[in-house]
Amino acid sequence: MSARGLVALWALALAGLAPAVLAGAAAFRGGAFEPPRAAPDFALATSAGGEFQLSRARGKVVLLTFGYTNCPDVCPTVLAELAQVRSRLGGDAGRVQVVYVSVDPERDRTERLHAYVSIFDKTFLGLTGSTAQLGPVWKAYGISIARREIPGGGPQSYGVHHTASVYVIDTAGRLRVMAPFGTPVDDVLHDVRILLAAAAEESAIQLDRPWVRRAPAMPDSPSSAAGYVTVVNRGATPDALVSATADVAASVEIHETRNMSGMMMMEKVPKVVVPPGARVELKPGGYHLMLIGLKQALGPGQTVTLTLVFERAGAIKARAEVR
Amino acid sequence: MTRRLAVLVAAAVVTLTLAAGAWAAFAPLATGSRELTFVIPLGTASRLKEGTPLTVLPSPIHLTVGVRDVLVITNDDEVVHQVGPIILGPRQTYRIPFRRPGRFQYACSLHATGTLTLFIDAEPAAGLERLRWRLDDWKFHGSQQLPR
Repeated sequence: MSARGLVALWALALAGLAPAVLAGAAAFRGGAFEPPRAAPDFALATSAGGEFQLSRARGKVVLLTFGYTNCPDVCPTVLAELAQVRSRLGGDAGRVQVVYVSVDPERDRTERLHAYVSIFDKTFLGLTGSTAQLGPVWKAYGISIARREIPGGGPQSYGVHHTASVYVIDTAGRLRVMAPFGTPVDDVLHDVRILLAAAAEESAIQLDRPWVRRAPAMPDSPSSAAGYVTVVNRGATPDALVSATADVAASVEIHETRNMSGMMMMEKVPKVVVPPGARVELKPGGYHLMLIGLKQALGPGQTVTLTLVFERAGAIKARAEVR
Repeated sequence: MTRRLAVLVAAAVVTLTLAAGAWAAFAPLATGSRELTFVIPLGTASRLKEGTPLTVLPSPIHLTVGVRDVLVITNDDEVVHQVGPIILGPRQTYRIPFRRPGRFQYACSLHATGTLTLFIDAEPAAGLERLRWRLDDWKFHGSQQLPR
């Protein structure tokens, strides 16, 4: 290669590196992990009823912290600060989920936890479970817990010393920042805004011409319908459709129709990868969404709301016409 | 003649010492990088398993606002290491800037005492404080002992 070629290559390499460096850890005010890795996944019962699984919160920035309802000082401070972060985000508040995991399963029953976190913000989720369920979560996040009896108190009179850091998990489920207790609200807000802006930029997924095939009501047997859409990735990073939901169906699966030596086979697939710059069509005879357990018959002219969840871009809604 | 020379030399030494002291006490602290970096070296996990006493991270760690206020911990080992709530996968780095004085304490299995204490000191004022900071800093880099 000529010297000029080498120089050009070098310049190209630098140009490619610059954005990566600029967007790197230096921009965060809380403690940042580089390179980012997937946050340890867990599923626990929520105070609002139901179950929360971290990996299903893709598309939102998750602020994860640990504490207990009897906490006199530290936890209320952290929760009040996180409530401030959310309120100061204004219209973006809905893209942030605060999750509060109990370090005191003995006293923190779901109702009590729900009442407690709701004081700070109605959308906060308090998670609890048995010690056997919570233990691995504490361990995965390096939460150290020490129970201290309060002298002269009753049998339920104890405090729980615990790590009160805030973990910031991006819309793609990666652990990006660990802000120790005492990190100013402004700094947490700053880092959340960086992640939301990055997600908006990365969310280069566009949904084209969504439609759902008509389906009759089938009394006595659960009916289903196929949904189609073209997914366009205008970004520079690959993304993947990982799950979907529809307002008219109990569940939605991603299927692929394949021609196996003349026999048409329908197979469930875990995801559909959309490379950068690519258009992937979900169309008859190929990939499609299977709307299972229809709540109503679908006739022409109706519309169905589909929510497609992408690995990076998160949840994207589309109004599909019934044909 | 020799006595006069001795006086001159002594005067020069005193003047230089005073000048150096004045510089050390009043010149702004500029250390180049504001990062204080600790590396968990390759093989730390296996050495810990063997029971070899290790001092990967000293405790307490001192940082100074405005001078050396960015703590960097890099895991060069092949397995996950956990420094309190800082979970580092292989070849992962945690970088945290501090802008206010304070004290942080983490439970840490890498420490014999089980805790890692972090002091974030205020930026030393010009004069005696700055002089003392420089001396400590020089001592640390000279002997590779506890940073300040």
